[in-house]
Amino acid sequence: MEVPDVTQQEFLNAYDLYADAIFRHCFFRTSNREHAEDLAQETFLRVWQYLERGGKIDNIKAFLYRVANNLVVDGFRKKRSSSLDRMQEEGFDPVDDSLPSEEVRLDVARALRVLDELEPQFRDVMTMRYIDELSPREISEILGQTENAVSVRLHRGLKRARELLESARVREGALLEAKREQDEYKQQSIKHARSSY
Amino acid sequence: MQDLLTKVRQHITLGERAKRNARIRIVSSMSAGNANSDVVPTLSAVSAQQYQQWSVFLGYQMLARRRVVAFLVAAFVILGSSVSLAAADALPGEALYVIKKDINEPFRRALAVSKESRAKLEAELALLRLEELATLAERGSLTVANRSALEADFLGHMEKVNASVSSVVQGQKAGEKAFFAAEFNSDLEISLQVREKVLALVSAGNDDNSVAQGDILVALVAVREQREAVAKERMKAEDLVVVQPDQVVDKIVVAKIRNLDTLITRAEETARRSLLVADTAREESSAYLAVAKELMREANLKLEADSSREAFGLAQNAKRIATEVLLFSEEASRRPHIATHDLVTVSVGARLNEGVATGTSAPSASVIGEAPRDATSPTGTTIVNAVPAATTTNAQATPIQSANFGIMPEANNTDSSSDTKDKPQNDADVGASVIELETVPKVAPNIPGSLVP
Repeated sequence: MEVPDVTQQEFLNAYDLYADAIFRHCFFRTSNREHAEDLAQETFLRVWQYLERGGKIDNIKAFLYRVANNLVVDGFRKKRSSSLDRMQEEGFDPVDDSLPSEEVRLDVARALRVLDELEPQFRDVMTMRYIDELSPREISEILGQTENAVSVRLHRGLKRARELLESARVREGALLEAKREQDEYKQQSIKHARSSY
Repeated sequence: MQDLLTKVRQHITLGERAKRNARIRIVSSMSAGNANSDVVPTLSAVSAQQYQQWSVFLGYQMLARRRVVAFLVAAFVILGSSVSLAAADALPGEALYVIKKDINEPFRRALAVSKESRAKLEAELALLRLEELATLAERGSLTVANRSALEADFLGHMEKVNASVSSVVQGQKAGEKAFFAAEFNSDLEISLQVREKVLALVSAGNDDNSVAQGDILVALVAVREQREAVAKERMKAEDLVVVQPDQVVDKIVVAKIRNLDTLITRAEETARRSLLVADTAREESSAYLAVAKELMREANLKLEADSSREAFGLAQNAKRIATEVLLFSEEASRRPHIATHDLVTVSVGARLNEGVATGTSAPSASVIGEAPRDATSPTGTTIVNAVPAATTTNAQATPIQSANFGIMPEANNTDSSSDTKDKPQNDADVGASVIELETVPKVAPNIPGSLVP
């Protein structure tokens, strides 16, 4: 079916407007930049194909997120084993190398780690709320659930995420302490070795 | 945690080069005309012509009904109020239904002298029509004719609800009218939501009767449309509440939190007594109410910290959650076959989509649906198969008593001055953020016009 030129232009305008946002959503859902780029591109392709078949869209933003969400969920089933840990073990760091500073890089890694550990039903709403900055009503439209259900999931997801973040901080603190002790021991060993001569 | 996510989000971008490359690939795909998608949601409008077709049929029904009414009025006079009482549970197609519709209900309407009570009555009657529809479907007695008649009645009552609420709010001070509209529409919205879920479950139980299933799906779409319209009115009213003067909002919130405590307790007791037999159903209800209690506690803290507008949002959200648990538990007690389901996994959207997929939607009526999901979806949006259809339940088609429908607590002496405060900033807190003050725009601001040709 021929889609009018004005709609083609509007679609491309929508791409220019929402490509970053959709990519960001996919990135925080998958912790994988390359996969997120593919998902974002596929999202727009699928929406275009829908328009070509005569589909009507009232709210392009919600529609894009809905398609992206569906693609992410389907992708999860196929790529369950591609966890953040495994990728990092294999030497592939999904965190963007173009980040402005080490501090930002650590923050992103920390956020991804917490999101990665979250159950899927919390990760999607948390991403939509705090990364995509969607309202609970928009989220309920995208996921096809009631606002109450979204609200409950957000509440529980936030609680769970806080617990995970706190555990991560404790672990990090313990690791830093262990490293500091190790460094101190090393320093003392070197000092001792020097004084022996 | 939310601070961390808010902080990092700005640093994650597609990058100009990647964005440009992807755009090129998309444009070349557009030119090539590739089409192989199977994972997109369906979004279509419901045709209103279906209703027009039945209006003529309804006209014929009315003529026949008048002769029956004349006879039954005579019978009523002879037999007295016992007929009226017996008619309370009557369903369309039964002889006493005419008494119920054409005598009992007008009588109740005559007794509803205040505008608030009229609004409440029409809302109860609208829900009653949905109740009757669900009961007929459960008994395998739903036909195209009685479904469309009930649907038309339902829509008629909803129109009267809107008119009644508008007339109520006209006569009141700014704070009171905003609060009434917010409370009333919130209660009605949740009631319609629960009815939608019940209908979705009843529809699932009619898998061996595609005609009935198609009818229920058409009704489901109508209910959903009305619920969404009510939701919009509710949000508009909530916007108005939070711009009232401080002392007005304070009084509203104090009274609201007081009533909320009672509501949550009632919801707990009802859920405990109900026939929610599945562990997941009970757990889910408990989880919902736990969240409602937390939100109420947070609302109290906000109120103490002089953030009454945020407290209002939190309390409103808590009330909606508790009301949903209460109404759903009551339904589970009246309709045992839904007692195995919990609040979250009943997905009306998925049910509508399944109806489209199996070709059971009514002719010339398409549905508003969502992306097809299979049973292994981690987001849990699939409906668990219900028990077989046409169960002989004893579900009573009684008026809905549970929701308050905007019965206002003591919020008197409101100041109607035009002095308003700025709207609060959106709080990162989950509870307040549920009652967002922005509405979802139909089209992104930079896209000229709509994508709908």
